Amino acid sequence: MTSLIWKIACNEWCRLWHARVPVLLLMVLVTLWAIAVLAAHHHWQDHARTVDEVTARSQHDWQSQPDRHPHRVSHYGDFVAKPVHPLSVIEPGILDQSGHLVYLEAHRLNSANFNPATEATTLGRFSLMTPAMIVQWWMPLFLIMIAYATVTSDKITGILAFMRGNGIPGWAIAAGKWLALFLPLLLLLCLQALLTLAWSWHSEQLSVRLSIMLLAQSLYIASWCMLVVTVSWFSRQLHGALLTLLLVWVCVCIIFPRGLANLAQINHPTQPRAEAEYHAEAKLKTIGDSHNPDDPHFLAFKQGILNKYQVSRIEDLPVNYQGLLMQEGERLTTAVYREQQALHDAQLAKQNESIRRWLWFTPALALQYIQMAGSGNDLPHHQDFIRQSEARRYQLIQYLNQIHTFKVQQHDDKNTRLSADFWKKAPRPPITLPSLTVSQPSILAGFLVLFGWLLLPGILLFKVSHRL
Amino acid sequence: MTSLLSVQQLSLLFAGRSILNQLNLTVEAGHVVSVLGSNGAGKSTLLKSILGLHDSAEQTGNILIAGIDMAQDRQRALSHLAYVPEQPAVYGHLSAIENIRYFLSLSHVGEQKEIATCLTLAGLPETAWHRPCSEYSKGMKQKVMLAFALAKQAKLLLLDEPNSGLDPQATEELNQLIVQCKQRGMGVLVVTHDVLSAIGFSDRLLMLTHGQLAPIALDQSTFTLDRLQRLYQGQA
Repeated sequence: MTSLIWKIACNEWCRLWHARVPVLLLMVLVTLWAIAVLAAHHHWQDHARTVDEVTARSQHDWQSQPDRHPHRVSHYGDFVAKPVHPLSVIEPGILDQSGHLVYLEAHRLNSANFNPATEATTLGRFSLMTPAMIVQWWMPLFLIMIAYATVTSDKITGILAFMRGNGIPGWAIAAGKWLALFLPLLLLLCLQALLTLAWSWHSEQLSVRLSIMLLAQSLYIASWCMLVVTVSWFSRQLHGALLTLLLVWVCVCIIFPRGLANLAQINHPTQPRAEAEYHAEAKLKTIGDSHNPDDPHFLAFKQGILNKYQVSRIEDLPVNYQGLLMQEGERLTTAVYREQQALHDAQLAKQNESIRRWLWFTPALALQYIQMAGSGNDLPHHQDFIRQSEARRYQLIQYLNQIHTFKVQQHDDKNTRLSADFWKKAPRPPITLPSLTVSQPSILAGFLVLFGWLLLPGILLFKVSHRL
Repeated sequence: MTSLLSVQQLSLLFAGRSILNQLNLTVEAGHVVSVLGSNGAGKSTLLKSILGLHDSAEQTGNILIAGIDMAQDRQRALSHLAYVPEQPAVYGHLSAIENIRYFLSLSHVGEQKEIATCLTLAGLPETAWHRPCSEYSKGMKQKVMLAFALAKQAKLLLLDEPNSGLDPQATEELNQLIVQCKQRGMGVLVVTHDVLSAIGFSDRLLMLTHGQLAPIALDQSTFTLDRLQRLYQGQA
């Protein structure tokens, strides 16, 4: 039976080859794909170069700091860069919108935390042509143009009736047609994966991430091939098959993804950055103001410190009170900003959850979720980067505040300069690429949808393929 | 006499409407049976029912091909049969030989006749054998299909409107071919509107009306348009 399917597939290739237009369309698709790969590779190199340069410069500048006061160091700041995985060549995801550099400084959460692009949906990106976009949008469109007539034309010319009437099983015809469409596109996807493997074989987590992306892309294209054969099988007229498939494409690739993302934003709106900062500042004022000598929180804090060290005046403390005040201020500021960040993240999580619930309508978005997760450029990866950089910022600033507390004499605070060795030993843990588990819900939902979209038309086709 | 096709109590409902109603039919080896009927009477539907191309839920009755029950072993039953639809179904990008070779390879035919011999028997000029079928006339394509039936060594041949759209010469050539098939011991079931041709090559003529087949006695001497009209109206 395998040879039967294979023979039908070979004949279909032969037919498409003789028709010429499908070959031309395939060549256009391959050209588009090649352009996308080159453009995306160039774009990724720019990102990677920036990351390397900023990381090196930041490291150099930090290490070159002279002897100085620790509070000046905490305001000197530190840049961190998000590790950009080479798979970003295939799918840059929200990288361009969310940014990959964050400036860390005292008393503030960096601006990238509230980057407007993270508030925008993950679909607000139509500019750069990427290999992922080719697979997600263009490949199905070209597939439709190449193969909408695959069964309908056989039906119109009577070949389908002839084959079925002469004992050739309908499901074998359908499987042969499907294989003829799927195999060349699968080869293209494998070629893309091999190229990626060749230029980034040394990257971390490459095999698992690339495998997941390749599997998702293969399932997606397989389901489109199945859909094309099914619609073509059901259609009596060529234009009927073409129009039905184009309608499905427009809905699945354009209307539903955009509509779902917009609905999610309407139902679970995120605050603009300015509004979030305003709320944070307002909250901070209610908690306490370290510059106000009558502020109840800091009065209580001061009394607690005095009690702890069993002294009655700040001047009698064995440690630097300004350093302690900085630590407390940083703790409060961070708590408020993190609370705002958590609210923001919760809204984004709700948006994602809402989209995932309706993901059944659009395998294109399901594929996008998986591709963005695979390349490390989806929302959970970005949020993990923000968490890591924030943890690093807090750790670093509190380290400096502790030095301020214990190494700077209170009576000569303003004129003290500490050795540069302190900054060189400061904790600045590197930002690492998280494991794929951060995106597990999106990946699982995506694969479920893709399997569903492959199985549903497949079962339908199998059921009806014994009929004409 | 060996019955190559035996249809018993065949009924078919289509969208709630009865198309075939307790229909019985047999075709013996070396016999040509023609089914006549008005447009929409269900002639082509009858062929598709025999081939099992309708939803089984809508169809009842027994169909035996060369003694093999279609319901039991459809694939084996169909291996003894060749079906030629109204439209000659050949791939335009393939030549006559390539078309026949391709369809034979899909049909799991054990023993095949040499394709060239079959094309000669079917009357297709040798100069056309290697040309793409997109350049063929309808009559030439019909010959390719009949050559396929011969190469397949089918015992039973089902023809759906074989003369439709053919000029008189091509019609005559096709009629001769049907007679040749009959002489080779094949059973032939023809569904047609071409009454004169059917009278020429048929051993039995049947009229399909109200979902049932009724034999009609018609030959060259008794054929008149008035009689034919009455037959089509079921007033035999």
